[in-house]
Amino acid sequence: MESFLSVGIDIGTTSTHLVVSRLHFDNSSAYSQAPKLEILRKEIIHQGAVRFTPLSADGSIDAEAVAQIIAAEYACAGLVPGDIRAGAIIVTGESAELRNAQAVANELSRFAGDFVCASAGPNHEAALAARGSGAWEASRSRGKTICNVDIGGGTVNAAVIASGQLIDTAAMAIGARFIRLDDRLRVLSITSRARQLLGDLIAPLDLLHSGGVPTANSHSMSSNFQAGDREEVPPVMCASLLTIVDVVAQCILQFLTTAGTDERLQSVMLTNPLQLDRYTIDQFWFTGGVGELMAVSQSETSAAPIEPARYGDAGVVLASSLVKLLKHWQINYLIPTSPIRATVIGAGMHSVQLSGATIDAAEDVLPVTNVPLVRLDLNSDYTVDRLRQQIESECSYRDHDWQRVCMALFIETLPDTSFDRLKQLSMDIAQLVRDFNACAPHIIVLKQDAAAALGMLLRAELNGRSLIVIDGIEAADGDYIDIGKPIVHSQLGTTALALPVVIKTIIFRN
Amino acid sequence: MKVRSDLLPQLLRATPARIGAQRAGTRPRSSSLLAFRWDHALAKDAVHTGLSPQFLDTFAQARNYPVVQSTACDRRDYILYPPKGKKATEQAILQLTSCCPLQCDVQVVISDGLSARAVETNAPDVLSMIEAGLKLENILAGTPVIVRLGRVAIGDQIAHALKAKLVINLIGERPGLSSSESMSAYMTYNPGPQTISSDRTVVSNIHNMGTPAAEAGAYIVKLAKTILHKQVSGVRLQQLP
Repeated sequence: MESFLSVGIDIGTTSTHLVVSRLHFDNSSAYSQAPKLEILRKEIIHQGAVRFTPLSADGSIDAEAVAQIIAAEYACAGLVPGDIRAGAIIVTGESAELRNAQAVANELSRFAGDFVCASAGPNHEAALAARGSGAWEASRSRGKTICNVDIGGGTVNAAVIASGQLIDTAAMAIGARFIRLDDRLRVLSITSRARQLLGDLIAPLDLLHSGGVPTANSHSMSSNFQAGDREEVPPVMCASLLTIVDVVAQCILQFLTTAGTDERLQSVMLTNPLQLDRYTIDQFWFTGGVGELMAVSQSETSAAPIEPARYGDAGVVLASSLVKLLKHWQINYLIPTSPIRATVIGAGMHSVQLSGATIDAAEDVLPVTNVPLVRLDLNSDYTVDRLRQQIESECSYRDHDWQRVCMALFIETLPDTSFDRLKQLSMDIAQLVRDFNACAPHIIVLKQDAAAALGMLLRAELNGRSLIVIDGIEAADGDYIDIGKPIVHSQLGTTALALPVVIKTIIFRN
Repeated sequence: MKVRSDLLPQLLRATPARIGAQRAGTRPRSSSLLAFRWDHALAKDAVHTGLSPQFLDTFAQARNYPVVQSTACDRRDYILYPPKGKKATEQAILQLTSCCPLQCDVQVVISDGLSARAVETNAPDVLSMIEAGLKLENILAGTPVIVRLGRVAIGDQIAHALKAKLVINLIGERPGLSSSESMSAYMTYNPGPQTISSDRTVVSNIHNMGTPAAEAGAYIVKLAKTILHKQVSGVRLQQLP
């Protein structure tokens, strides 16, 4: 079996961490059959420390400091960026709202290795956490519907997996850091979203700490600790603070268990709510930094409970409040091992997939990154005109100019994969490419096994233009695709090449 | 053991194998037994049925492909005496050398093998794709030859007579209980009397549930290109660095 190294880097609201894994792949087809390269085994070879996300004085991500973290972790693992063959860097939670998030992600992705992709987006984040926690695999192998809930500093990201299929995702913008506390448990700041959510409940806190400390609109992650005047009393969480955290915990559980959106939750929703009337959740899995604290909170054997002020936010209290409510409401839940690393493990181990091995690709144009996927619906009675309309409306919706920037046509289902069908499709695609005067390389992404055939036919139609046709890919509307240089299997040589592919969303909400 | 009802459909979708057949008393359930007998009958029919007259008319004759027969005199003779299906008659060889172009890079042979249905279902698409692909790669292909009552080795003999560098024999596989429509492509570089099994590169499992015909055709073109370039096929091709 052969292998390559993949890195996952998660820059979250509170913490940044990195995981390097080795992905083993082999030809999974029988000797006499058309080859198929598959990732058959994955192992983590280096798990970096969980560190605070470094921020500059102006509240933006400190790219240089993140780069130093990456370099330090690589050094610790005995690696250089050149060893890394693939991976993903994901900016999560509130960090994705910071104004330099996108630039930093792109810059760091080049620094971190050969084919490390930049991604963000609350639904994507939720799906990666479900992969990384093992909820996805548990759902597949047990045929259960599992909702993975990743609660970090800034967001709650939920992904629902039914029998190994992702069926729903949703996210809300509240997390452990909705409130910042000093080491005496005095309130330093409350995010504007939390203020909207909590309304009048905030008032007593503001009164209590009327020293002007709480700053409205403070998304800022910078540690603007303003010590205030120290009184010699032991840190006690005041009753109103406990009430507020309880309300937030209730809101989170309401978001997870009640269909439709309550007026009150509207201010913190990042996506549509979960479509809870469509399915029944068998079990909830909790991950993320708060998941990690929930594990501590629920274990009765734990010698010393964590002091509430340990992380300068509501995390510890929120975790114990959630555990209390889950038990009280008798909700079936589980906290997997290493919950805080779910997203980064998902990014590092599960974001890279291999395309089918019988494909057609102009290798000199690879890698291509951040290419928007446009899904074409191909019924048996499709017409070129209708495809043209689909592309036009998608381009205008996404403000994309196909003449200037390349784009990938994603064909999820072909009515059939016969020669005549593929021949006709190749002529139709060539027609579209000419009509739109489309920018090269021309990228076609299929789910069904037909890329080598379509690629060959299309090459004849588009003589000489560079072309990438791959198959075996699952994606959704609005996704982006990165395609890397071929993964070569020493025994198969060049007759069968698989390309590493990352399907992702890029939503930087600044 | 009790099978969880919600998991079984998922497992059934994952494999064409006969799992979850269940039983009634000491025997299989009627539906399982009937399904088994149905598939078995299809497999037996596939073995005993030759290329249909319609196929020979619409595919071979319409495209002007020559049709020849092995030394077996009928289907029964062919099944009972396997060596007879490996050789073409001298008359057949003479017919081919007179009507087909010689010394091409690639000679395609289409044999019924043990499932004429597999050939009828898959060969037209595989052939169209091979022809389109070879043209794109500037590889010269001869006129395809259809063989009735043919086995794998007969392709080597025909291509040797036509002095082709590479033979591609598209042949119906021995049917199983999950598919009676599976076709293989056997490819031999420099085929002739000296050819043995290990000289052949094979692409098997060509059918709708395996490698679809057109896609298999494209892969065969890539293999053909590699084989012609390296001038070797079969196990020795596999062993090249």
